[in-house]
Amino acid sequence: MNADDARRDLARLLPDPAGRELPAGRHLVLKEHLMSEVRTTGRPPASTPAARRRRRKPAIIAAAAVAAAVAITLALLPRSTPGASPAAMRLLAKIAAAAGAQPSPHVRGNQFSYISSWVSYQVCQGGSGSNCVMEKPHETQLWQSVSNQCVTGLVREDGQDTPLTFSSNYLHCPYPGDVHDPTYRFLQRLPTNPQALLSLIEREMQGQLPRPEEAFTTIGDLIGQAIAPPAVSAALYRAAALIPGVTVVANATDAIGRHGVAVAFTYQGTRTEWIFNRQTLQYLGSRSIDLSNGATNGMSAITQRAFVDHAGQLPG
Amino acid sequence: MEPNLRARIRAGDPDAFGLIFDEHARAVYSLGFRLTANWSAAEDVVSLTFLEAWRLRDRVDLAGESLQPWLLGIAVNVCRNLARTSRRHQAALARIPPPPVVPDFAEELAGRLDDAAQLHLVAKALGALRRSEREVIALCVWSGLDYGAAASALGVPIGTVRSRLSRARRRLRNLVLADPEPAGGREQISGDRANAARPSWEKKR
Repeated sequence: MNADDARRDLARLLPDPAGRELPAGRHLVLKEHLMSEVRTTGRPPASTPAARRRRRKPAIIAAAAVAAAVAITLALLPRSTPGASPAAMRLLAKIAAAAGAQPSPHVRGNQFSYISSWVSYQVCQGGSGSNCVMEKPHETQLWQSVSNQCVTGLVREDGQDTPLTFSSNYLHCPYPGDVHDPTYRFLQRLPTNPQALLSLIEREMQGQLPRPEEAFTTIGDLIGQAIAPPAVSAALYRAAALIPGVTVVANATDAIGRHGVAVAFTYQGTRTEWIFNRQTLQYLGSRSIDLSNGATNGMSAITQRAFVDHAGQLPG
Repeated sequence: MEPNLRARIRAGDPDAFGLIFDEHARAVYSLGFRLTANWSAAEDVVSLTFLEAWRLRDRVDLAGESLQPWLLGIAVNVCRNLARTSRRHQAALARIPPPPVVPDFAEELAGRLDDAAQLHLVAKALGALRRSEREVIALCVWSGLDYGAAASALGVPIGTVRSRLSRARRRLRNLVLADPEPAGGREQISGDRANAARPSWEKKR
């Protein structure tokens, strides 16, 4: 994709809300504060005027209160949802049974998950999504620590190696990840009760109401871009069966031309499909289609998932 | 950026850290606002990000270009866990002199009314996105990082940045189609709209 193009388009769709700069006075105050904290690192904190401490608290408490209110609202929302279509429920039940019957791998904490996939995105020449074609699928190989995102991983794309350093997650090392960027160990700890799992995924949508589309996308990322233990994979599929609007597409094709049956969800004119082998019910890949013109605008195909001892090592 | 400065930061030289603050505090502040939609939270994000960066200074690479992606990556995580990170640095935060009790109303109000409609629309659009999509937009589109830098700031593959961006783009375009009012448009401020700038957005967190 033309990077500048995509950015211009997004900048037009979504103007930068940050219209104000840090006032010079506050810049100085924050800097002086930081410098004094930095210089006194290791020493016991100086005593603080109570009035100041009180002033700082409300923001944090208010944030916590809002978070709590949101959590309560989510918990109280009625679950009158009928779930997926009957055909999708039947298919997902079979897919879940097949996934759950896989042998549970023995994984050591110092190993890496390896995922090899072929991906293809839409490339648009015109500024706002016009003149679009699918790029040629290309292979992506990804190695990630199974237990700690602070451990450097690796991406190999077009023969080029890029280390994967999780700088943002250095905050709380070791970091097992979250629903958005999970490790295997994180996924191992997820509940295997479908309803509990779905509720947990919905809670991750910080401040937003639970929406079927969010849940479908999150589950899709977890089954398509990570390795989950068999019991959790099965629970993810069973959780997907609880999402209203999920349907079956009889014939779908992944990024390398493999055909299968798909579980699908349509949102704002785009249908996203998870594609499965008809016989084994194994996950093959995904595809998304713009229903207004029938054009595919993204697809993937998983070719291998395994655990290896080192980043960069291919499964033997 | 000169490698010397990186070495000084790793060695725990406060003056070197001060230079980094001067250079990047603005970018961190803007990102903090983009992700929290709250100016006072954005100030906390600045302090917390640099406190965390100081704590983690021995992880600074000796080679490399700007430290900005690293700092913005920390800022993203600070925003994700604002309450938790605030607790970690609670004592330090308590020592920050509070903002002036009486804000400059003239300036504040003018800025707010002028931007109210736009903020409201942007807030509405942001609400349609997932956290991970908001983060890539904030980094790639608003903070100007390239895909590689955003990938390293977030700790995800470049392909993930691309797919999140394209997903966000698709959703936003559909949103614009569904609601012909462009997100960037300005309008006469009705009472309702001026009101909307604050509560609807800031209450979310």
